[in-house]
Amino acid sequence: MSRTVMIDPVSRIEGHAKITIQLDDLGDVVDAHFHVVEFRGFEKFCEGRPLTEMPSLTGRICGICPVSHLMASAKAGDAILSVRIPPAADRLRRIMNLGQMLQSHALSFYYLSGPDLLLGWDADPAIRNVFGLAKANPELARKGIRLRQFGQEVIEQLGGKRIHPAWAVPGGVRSGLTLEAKEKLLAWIPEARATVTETLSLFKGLLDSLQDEVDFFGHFPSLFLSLVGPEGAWEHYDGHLRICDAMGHILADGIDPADYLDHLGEAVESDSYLKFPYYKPLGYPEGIYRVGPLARLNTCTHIGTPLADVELLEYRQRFGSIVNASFLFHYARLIEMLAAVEYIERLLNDPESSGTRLRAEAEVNQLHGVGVSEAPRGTLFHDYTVDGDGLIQKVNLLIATGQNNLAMNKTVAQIARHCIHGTKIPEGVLNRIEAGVRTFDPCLSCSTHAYGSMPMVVQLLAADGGVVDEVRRD
Amino acid sequence: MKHTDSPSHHDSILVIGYGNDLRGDDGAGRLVADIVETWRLPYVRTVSVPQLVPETAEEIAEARLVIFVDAYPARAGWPVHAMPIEPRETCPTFGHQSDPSSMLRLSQLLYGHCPEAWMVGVPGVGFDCCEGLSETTEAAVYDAVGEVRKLVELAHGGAQ
Repeated sequence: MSRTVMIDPVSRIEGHAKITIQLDDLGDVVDAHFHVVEFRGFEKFCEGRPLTEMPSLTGRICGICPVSHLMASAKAGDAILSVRIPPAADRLRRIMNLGQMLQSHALSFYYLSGPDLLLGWDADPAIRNVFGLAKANPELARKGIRLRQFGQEVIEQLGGKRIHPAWAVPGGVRSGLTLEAKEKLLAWIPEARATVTETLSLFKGLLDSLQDEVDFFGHFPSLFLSLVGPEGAWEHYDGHLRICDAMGHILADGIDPADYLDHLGEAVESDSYLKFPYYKPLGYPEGIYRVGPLARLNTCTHIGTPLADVELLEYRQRFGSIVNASFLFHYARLIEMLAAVEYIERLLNDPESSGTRLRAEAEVNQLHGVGVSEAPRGTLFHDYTVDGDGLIQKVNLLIATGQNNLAMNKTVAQIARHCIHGTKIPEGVLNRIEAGVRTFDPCLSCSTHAYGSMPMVVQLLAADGGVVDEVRRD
Repeated sequence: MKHTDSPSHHDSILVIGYGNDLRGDDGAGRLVADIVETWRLPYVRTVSVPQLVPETAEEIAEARLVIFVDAYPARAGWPVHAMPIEPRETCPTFGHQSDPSSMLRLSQLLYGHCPEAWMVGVPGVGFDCCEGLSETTEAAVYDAVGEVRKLVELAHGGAQ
């Protein structure tokens, strides 16, 4: 008799989800699914609101990555106003976006995944947590906390608060950075750089013992998508879209982010509130692609800062110029933290970031605009249609976690097939499956924003597992 | 985070009010901390945050007394309560949010000090998405401020 194994809730991710694994009569894994059971509705209730409210409103989607929504939303607003924002506003938005990336990556690595990586998958669950980490390596835990604080301080110095700063607006930003704030942040740079460098060394030292995880935690070919800058440089805020395949062939390049719907489609499934984006030319689900740190390091030619470029070179020497192992999201995340620290230092020292002209003033000049930036978890699209008065008529949000949905499902199935044979499932295996999802650092608060178009199936099951009633909404 | 003039934190009293002020009465703890901040006492520091996070652990370790203030789900007529709390590993998965006992334990583990700590609970009767407090909770806020004042005076008087 077939059996379903359920993991509910999935812990140490941002949001609530469950995983089901379908076994056949022999106890082998047939299929596995990552279900997102949260429901939000932002796309619908933004309708009718003024364009100028959108950055603050959509920033409320998430308490972890509000800055990412702030950026993409403000950029969609820039497009609707048809303005090029002042150079100082550009530099300051970049600094805040990097601060966001740094604090979010630090949360993912030190708080959420660190216990697994440093204490081991088979460690007692009672100690495999942040307290266990604090006991095993208090210095690393302290430094990780300080690093995240630095990222949050960057956000607070610019936006006035760490969570939900109402700072970026269509046309620019509300305020600049004082000299005192710049000096405070610059003084913190050496410590932040040292922490990331030490953590990279620690992680690389663990890699030999993590070969299994590299091999089966979502190791499969897929496409990769991200923004890239001039000459294919790593980019987090602007630029154009690039899509490459598992061998590194560039399938599409120089894509204007506003044309994303020509290349990307969104499928829906009945068992999850998370949409399933795919690359249109290959169809669904063959057009599976990944976004985020792993994708950004696969699509870029170089990062553009000295230390991060050295680390990128070593990463590629170890695993090839295109990395298909989802487990190495962790490694890529660490390299991006180093890049973020270096870029923040460079931008703080850039005289343009001290400019006093911070906002381009304009009325609505286009009825449609798309804003795209790189959130910590991947490429983020905000697509708005407004009326002549700037009131929102339609919103489409394409979120990083959603774009990794197909890949997360595939990762769960791969780990389950590797680990589960028969009906006994040890704790270590369940944790590996959760940890496989955690490599993507999914943010479910962000990704379950859709409204009204989710098919749903509700089944009433008898004690023997048979379906006695079913309600379906297509 | 607000700092009253305090060159050395180790003798200070820390009042942490936390909650989501877009969830009605859940913001009560933050309002209490904001009121305490207006006292401008040199030996009292206040923190007003949406949620407890590991980054606050160092701040806690530097205090000699910590008073957490938060709303709790209640019915009209339920009281403000103040109770001592101990460090415990009660929230092992915390990433971006935690509870007071776990924060104390983290301070103890990472910074080698866990101060005396109290939890002041403010009765809340409405936690829907809205700003502002219900009449019940607004009245209770002033009782909670009174409880905080008593604890502060007791600790400060004892230190003199």
